Amino acid sequence: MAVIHLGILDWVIIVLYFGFVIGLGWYLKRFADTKEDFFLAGRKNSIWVCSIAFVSANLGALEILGWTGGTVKYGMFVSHFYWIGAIPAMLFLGLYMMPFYYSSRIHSIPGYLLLRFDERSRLLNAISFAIMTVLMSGINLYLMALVFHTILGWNWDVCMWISAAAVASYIALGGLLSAILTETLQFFLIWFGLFLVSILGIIDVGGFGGLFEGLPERMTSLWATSGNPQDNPMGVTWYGIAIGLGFVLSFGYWTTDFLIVQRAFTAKNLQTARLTPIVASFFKMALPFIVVVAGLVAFKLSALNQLNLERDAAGNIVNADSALPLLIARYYPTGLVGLGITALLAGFMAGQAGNTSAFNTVFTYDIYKAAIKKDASDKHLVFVGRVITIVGILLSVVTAYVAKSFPTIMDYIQAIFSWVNAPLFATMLLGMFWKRTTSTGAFWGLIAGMLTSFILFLAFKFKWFGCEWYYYLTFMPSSKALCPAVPSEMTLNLWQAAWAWIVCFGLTIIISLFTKPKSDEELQGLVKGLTPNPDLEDVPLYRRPLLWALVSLGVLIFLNVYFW
Amino acid sequence: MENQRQMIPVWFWVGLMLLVYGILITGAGLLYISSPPQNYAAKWTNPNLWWGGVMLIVGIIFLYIGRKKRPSN
Repeated sequence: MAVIHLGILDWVIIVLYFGFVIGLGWYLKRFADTKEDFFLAGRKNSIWVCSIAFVSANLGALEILGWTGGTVKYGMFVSHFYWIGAIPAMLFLGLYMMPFYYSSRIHSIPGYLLLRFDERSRLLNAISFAIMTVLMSGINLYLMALVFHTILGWNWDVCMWISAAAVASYIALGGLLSAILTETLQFFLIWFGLFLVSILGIIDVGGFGGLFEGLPERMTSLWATSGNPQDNPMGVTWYGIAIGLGFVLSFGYWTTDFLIVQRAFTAKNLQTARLTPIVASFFKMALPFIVVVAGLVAFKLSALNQLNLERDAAGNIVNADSALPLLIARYYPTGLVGLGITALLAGFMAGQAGNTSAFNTVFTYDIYKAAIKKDASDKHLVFVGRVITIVGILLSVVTAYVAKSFPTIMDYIQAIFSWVNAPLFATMLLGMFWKRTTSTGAFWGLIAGMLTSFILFLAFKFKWFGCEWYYYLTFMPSSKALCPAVPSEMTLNLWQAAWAWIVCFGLTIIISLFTKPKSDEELQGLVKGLTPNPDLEDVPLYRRPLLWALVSLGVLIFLNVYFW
Repeated sequence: MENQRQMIPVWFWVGLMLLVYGILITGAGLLYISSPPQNYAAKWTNPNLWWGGVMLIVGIIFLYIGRKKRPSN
């Protein structure tokens, strides 16, 4: 049975959004004729546009629904994914990595691998990224249809095809320009459409004092219960969070995932590109005020029997992801319901558009131009970009239908993310900061890291190890007395990524020591020590990246101490 | 994106969207003054009215910012 029922005004608001974004695609087509315009949005964007698009590319509706539900299960621990699991990596990207990316005038992350290493690493990363993006896009499409079918009773096929067609049309017309513009609209829609849920929820439960009153410490603390995995609902340790999430997964995602970093490549100059992730970090830190607050309100109301979250016979909540739709149904009248649903739809479509625009760039530049037609003209590349946009969306639809028929396949597809990104961060780190890193070391290190992640994923899933090994591999040997119970899935994911990173990092160093590095001349502008420091002499203090990074770090520390 | 050829700045579109939605939602809020719906927990307030009003005002501000930066020709 549908959770939310729509009135005529709600439908008007939803239809208007579709008309708006498709109309924008038509309007932007005339500005996306050259390859720089289509694939890099003209490289003329301001700090605000870039940073909003940067954070919005990660702000999918699945994440909002999933982490609101996650808060119902894990409490404040979810904030780690927005704070320590994002902010240090974003600041590191802006301060240290962006000069190499932006100054080398690359179009994509695989493009950097080509310049720094060779064609092997570039193709390996381009193909794995393209496959990952299409599959993730398909999963996104499937879950979107599933969510709207469940909460609104919409027809699964109609929902999927209409949103796929809308995204395909505006990205094929306006390229990255369309993606960035709709991401900016989506950012405002999400805040105006969903933040009100938290505001009304807080008022409803008697303010912040009323919200936290009576809740167990494991639901309301960030670090206080992280000393022992049995004390917190996520089942993780503080060092698992700091190393697995705060370092490997977070840096792997925020500094090397092209879908995200591409937004900073569209900046008008290096100064703006560096500030992009730093300014975006403030927006990112604010998101728990939608997601986590709404999740805690749902938990509180459910405990008071005022919100009907589905429970099993033992009384455990089984479908926490319906928390946000239930709160929308509880607090929003007709009109605002349409706005809330449009915000979720916009989040889904923007996520789809982000995947599609990153896929068309990597395919066109790093696969088509590199391996199929090296002398392609500007006009031809834009044509290929438009065609491959449609092809990418169709492949996503096929993936969505496969996921619908075999839902267990989603576990494998979603795991691809850590197979690709965690080792890539080790490669990038060594490539940018150690000039002795060789092309052969990078290539084989990357392959070994990806294989490690893949094998550990299968080993954990199919229990190839004895139970005690789960605890050795997650650095919790003292907890092996808990066997046959194994560590939480979250702990296994974090350490799977950490091991992939360690293997890639170690093997790349060892192989590099025995193979021939590139000359200093070849590495100009690509490696620390051979790249001139960005000239900040004429930049006023208030526009300097370091200043804002320190402010951001200060806010991060304050939030962690305050909610300790 | 602001200075690219004669493209209308992104802030104009943000403002237009918020203004249109703000008008629709505030309008619904005005209707609810005389006949409030009973099926939601926030009936002690009229969120359509004041939240729609906030959207309307923010929309006007963004439209102004967008128009100000629009190329003259």
